[in-house]
Amino acid sequence: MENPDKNIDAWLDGVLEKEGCHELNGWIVASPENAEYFAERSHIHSSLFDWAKAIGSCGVDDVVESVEYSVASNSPKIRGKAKAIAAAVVAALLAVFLLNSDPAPVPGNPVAELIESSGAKLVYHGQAMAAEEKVILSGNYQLVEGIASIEFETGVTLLIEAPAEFRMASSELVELSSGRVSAHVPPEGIGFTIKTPSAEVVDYGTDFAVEVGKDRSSEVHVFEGEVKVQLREGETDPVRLLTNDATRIEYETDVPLGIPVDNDRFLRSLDEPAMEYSRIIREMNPVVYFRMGIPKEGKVMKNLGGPIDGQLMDGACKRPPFAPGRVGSSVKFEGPGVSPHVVAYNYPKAEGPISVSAWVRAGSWSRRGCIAANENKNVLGQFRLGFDRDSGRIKVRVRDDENREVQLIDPEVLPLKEWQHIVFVADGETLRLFRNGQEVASAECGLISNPRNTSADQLFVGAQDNRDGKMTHFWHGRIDEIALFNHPLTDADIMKQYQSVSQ
Amino acid sequence: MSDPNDKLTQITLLWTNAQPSVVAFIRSITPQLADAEDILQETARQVATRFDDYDQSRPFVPWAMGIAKYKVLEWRRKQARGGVLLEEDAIDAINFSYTERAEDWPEVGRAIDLCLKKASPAAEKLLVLRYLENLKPAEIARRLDSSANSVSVRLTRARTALRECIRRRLKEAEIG
Repeated sequence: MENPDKNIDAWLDGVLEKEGCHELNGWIVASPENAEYFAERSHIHSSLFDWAKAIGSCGVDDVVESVEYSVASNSPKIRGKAKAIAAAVVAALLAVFLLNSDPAPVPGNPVAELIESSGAKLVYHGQAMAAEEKVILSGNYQLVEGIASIEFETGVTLLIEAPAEFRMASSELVELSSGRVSAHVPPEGIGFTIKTPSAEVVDYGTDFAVEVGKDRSSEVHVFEGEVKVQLREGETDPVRLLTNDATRIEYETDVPLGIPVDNDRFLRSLDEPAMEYSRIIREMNPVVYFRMGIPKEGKVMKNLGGPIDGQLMDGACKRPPFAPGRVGSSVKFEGPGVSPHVVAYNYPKAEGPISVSAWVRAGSWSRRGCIAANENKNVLGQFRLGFDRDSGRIKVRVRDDENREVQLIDPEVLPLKEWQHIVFVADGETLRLFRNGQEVASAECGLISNPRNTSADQLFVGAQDNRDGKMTHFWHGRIDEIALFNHPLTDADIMKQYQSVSQ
Repeated sequence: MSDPNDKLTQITLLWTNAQPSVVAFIRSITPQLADAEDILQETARQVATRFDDYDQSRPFVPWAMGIAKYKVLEWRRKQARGGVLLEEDAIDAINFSYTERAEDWPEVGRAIDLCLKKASPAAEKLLVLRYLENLKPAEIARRLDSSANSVSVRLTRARTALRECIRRRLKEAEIG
């Protein structure tokens, strides 16, 4: 560039043409010295504005007219005015600070609607929202319990899991301070943005999810479509994520870290899809069939096989105990200590043959982790399906009509973090255990013990009660689509179940 | 810091010191004053809301400059395509320079004050029209019955003279 001063000044005066700007840009980035020179000259430019503002406070016309005769007029008086301007800026800043440090209830504008909820408890500017309140106003929210599904006018839907803190800035912008949100953005909602402490996620029509951790780091996972992740500061190039891409941005560093997309972490819908699997199970006449989806009525786990519903016990859970399942959502069990479980009281127990089928995804080989059982208070009930102590292998134990215990153990260790289809069948002659459609163990076994000879009335899923009412043997992982049949499933039935979702 | 009043005092002091550098950086990227004012306000808002994130063991100006850069980039993305804008790599480099020289700027500011007192009346008149009335060179030329090119050249000379004066002052201060 022949004359940097000329180009810099033209830029600062707002009269530089595109070509000159391009030239200036190249010159600035060519060396740190050039950038420093530009900074120095532009700093003078900025100081001149402040100087002019200060002298302007004594009257523009006066200044222009008298400037030739009164060069020294900018001394104490001007400095005083400059200080007044600086004070005004500080006052404005403090006003902003005070506003932000006092989140008093401020009625906002309607920006969205709460369309579905599973025990969602929303707090708006520190005040609990009534359950029947469906209008989402702009402003600050906390989701302290449950799961909320929120829809914007553009058709953008968000599924937010507690605990979460967010601000509904507008119908196109949500600022997520903490928590987990999945978003579905139709073409009408393109441009919808989720802002986190470390990034801004701009959507281009897609399904994606964002999680902000306690350390304010952000993760963005794209299930379908495309999003742009603009980093807060530091790195300036945005990250473009396409289907099955994910990134993590640490709050401290602002450097994007590519990570594998996690299809198993984020809930995407409150509805269980009406899939083939559900139809197949119902055609097999179960007496209990829990889809293990997200309940919409309190803690009731709907039984699609009969009148006796289950109850979800999740008192100690910090976040809703649900996660993507093999079909729709599943119940997520956290293992010993804090795990939820499902109980069905006085369910119709088997009076002869019995079969139980379920999809399970183990997070660890938790000791004696229970998938499903009809046992309590050290009284053997009809069956128990779960891990064999610490071996990591699936064991089924039943009590037959002659009060004998019969048990089978899968010879192979159950793979962790993979969905596995588990079935056992006792048909009155044989007890058989199946994994992923294949028989893995069998033994002779009579009809199942008569309900009148067993004192256990409850069906437990995800744990069992065998120590004076205390829950134990918690499952660690997920359980989905569990069904109990008071008749023997055939090999074809089992293969049909397995293949209907595994292909 | 738990006492809100202490926090207010602290943020006031820090921002007062940082603000001239922050606004200069913003004005250097956004020659339109109204845009610069908006970005400054947004930056101030962000500084206030995120003040708890500021690591007090580190200098404040670079932290505030980082926020200003983010706000400038945000503004830039909203501008119409095809507009005359500096590229992000240049903005990065300018921000870096401003941040690197953060400790020098107050001294430069004091030198500017002194140097302006020595400006010729003609130069001062020109600077008043440009900076107080916020006129472009073509408009100044109309006022002064001159040509836009001539005004631009004279403005550049005035700024260059100012810069040389500032350099001399800083050098004298160093020696002294």
